[in-house]
Amino acid sequence: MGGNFRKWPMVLFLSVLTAPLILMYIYLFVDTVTNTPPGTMIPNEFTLEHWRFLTEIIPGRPSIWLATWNTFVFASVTTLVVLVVSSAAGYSLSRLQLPARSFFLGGIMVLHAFPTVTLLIAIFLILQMLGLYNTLSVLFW
Amino acid sequence: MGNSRHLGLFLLIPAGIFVFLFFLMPVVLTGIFAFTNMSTATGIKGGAYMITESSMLSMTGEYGEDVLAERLLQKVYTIDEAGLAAALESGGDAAAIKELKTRFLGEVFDNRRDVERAIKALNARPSSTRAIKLISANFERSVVNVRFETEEELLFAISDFGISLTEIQIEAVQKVAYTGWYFTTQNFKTMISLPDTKKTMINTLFYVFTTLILFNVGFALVLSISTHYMGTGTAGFFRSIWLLPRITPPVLYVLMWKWLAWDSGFLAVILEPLGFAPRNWLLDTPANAWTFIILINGIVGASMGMLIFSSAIKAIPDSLFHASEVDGASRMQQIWHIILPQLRWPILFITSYQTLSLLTSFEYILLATNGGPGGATEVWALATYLKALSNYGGALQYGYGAALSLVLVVIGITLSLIYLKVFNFANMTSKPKIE
Repeated sequence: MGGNFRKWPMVLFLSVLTAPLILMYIYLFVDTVTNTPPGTMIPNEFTLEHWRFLTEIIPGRPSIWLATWNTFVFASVTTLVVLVVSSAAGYSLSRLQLPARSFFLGGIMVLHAFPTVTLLIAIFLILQMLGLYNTLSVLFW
Repeated sequence: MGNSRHLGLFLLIPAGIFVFLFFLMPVVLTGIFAFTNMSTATGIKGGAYMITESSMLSMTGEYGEDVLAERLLQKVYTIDEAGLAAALESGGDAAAIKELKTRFLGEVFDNRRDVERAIKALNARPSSTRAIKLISANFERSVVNVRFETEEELLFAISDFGISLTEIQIEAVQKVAYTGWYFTTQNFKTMISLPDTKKTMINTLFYVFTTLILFNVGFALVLSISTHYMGTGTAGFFRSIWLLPRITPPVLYVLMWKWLAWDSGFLAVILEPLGFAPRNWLLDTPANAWTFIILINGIVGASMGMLIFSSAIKAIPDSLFHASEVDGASRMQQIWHIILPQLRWPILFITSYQTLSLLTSFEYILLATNGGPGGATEVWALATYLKALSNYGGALQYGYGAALSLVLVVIGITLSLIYLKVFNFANMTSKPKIE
């Protein structure tokens, strides 16, 4: 793409814009395996102590593997539910002649306008009504 | 045909249940909550009735019933059967209690000293002050700080206490003594009267439109057009770099910005030799705070526009570019006359969709500045969250928070209806061709 124009001016332009972002992410990684004295940005020693949570349980914290398991269960169940529910709905909206189809499609856009977090109180009440409060299954929705 | 109609509705049912439970019902409930004074103090379920110091203050303040308020807060000492029985039970002198019953039954004293004087005057007076106090304690009668489950119980207790109320007074007592939530329009009155509301609204408009124009649309265009003029590999590299902020967890992403900005962070270290004293660049002035807020949100937001615009540019036939180059068009001319006109609908779409997103998004602001310094970066959605769900000045004000979010919901629905009109949505949702 881009025809016969020279590519390097665009690459240079975007590289300058992107450099800070790349630096930030590199530094994020470097910072996990090094120590840096105060007052400078250049690390002076290599260390693995920031990663010690992988091999030992830090006092006062739950095991990292429990958190990993929770994340895994949460992510896979959510994916499954969303996949089943939305592919069913998506197929029927796009391929089948439904009554009030454009109402449903417009509704998707309107739903986006609701501040989910501010509906949290109400959602909390509903979950309590359904008896799901304080169970892991709550998080799946 | 009729078959597929049923099948379609059947397939929609699961999604419908989710939408109903987690969107429609919450929205209706939020609408209801907005007209209540619900807070941590009142609870979410119904309340009870209680005469307290503070409820009597509003009795005086709102109804001018200061005599009644004082009377309700008073303790009186009534010599009655219940009190006598309790005195006997608690181990009081039996002879004294018996004489007290015959001489003073039904009598009401204004304070404890009078009761004790009466006991001392008895023929069978108890020997010690302690024994007198033991008896007198049982006659104390008060409606203060007693929890009544229903208003009948409260009114009965008050009349039992020896106060008869007029109709107006009954109404006043019911109002002020109720500890649960009730319906009111006070939330909206408060909202209008507070100067913070106007400031928050201006902040929100500034935040939404600055971020939208500079980044979600502007910078997204810069990214998609500049990657268009590159080799496929290079373009892919840059696009995936600019997608990183979106897939980084918000907490980590904002933490990176904090490292950059705080007083021993990257900026401070770099700028110190140039004569700038180290400071927290994120929070020292409102202007700096806004700069960071817009950068933080904009860089995440730009990636969505980038994806949409890039694929729209890819869909432009190559022949248009080739023909324009044969005619000697410069790069700027190509962008101006070919790319931008073809991107009209994607730009409109991103504008509308991201306005709504930005309007309701606050998590990056919450993590970065939490509305600071001094409320300078507090936007509407954040204010709602802080009022309703974060411990802001002691109590969580669900009712007021719901009222704030209702305003946001109304703005959101209005905007999205306007956008649907602009898009001519009915045309875009043409009948499916496969059946």
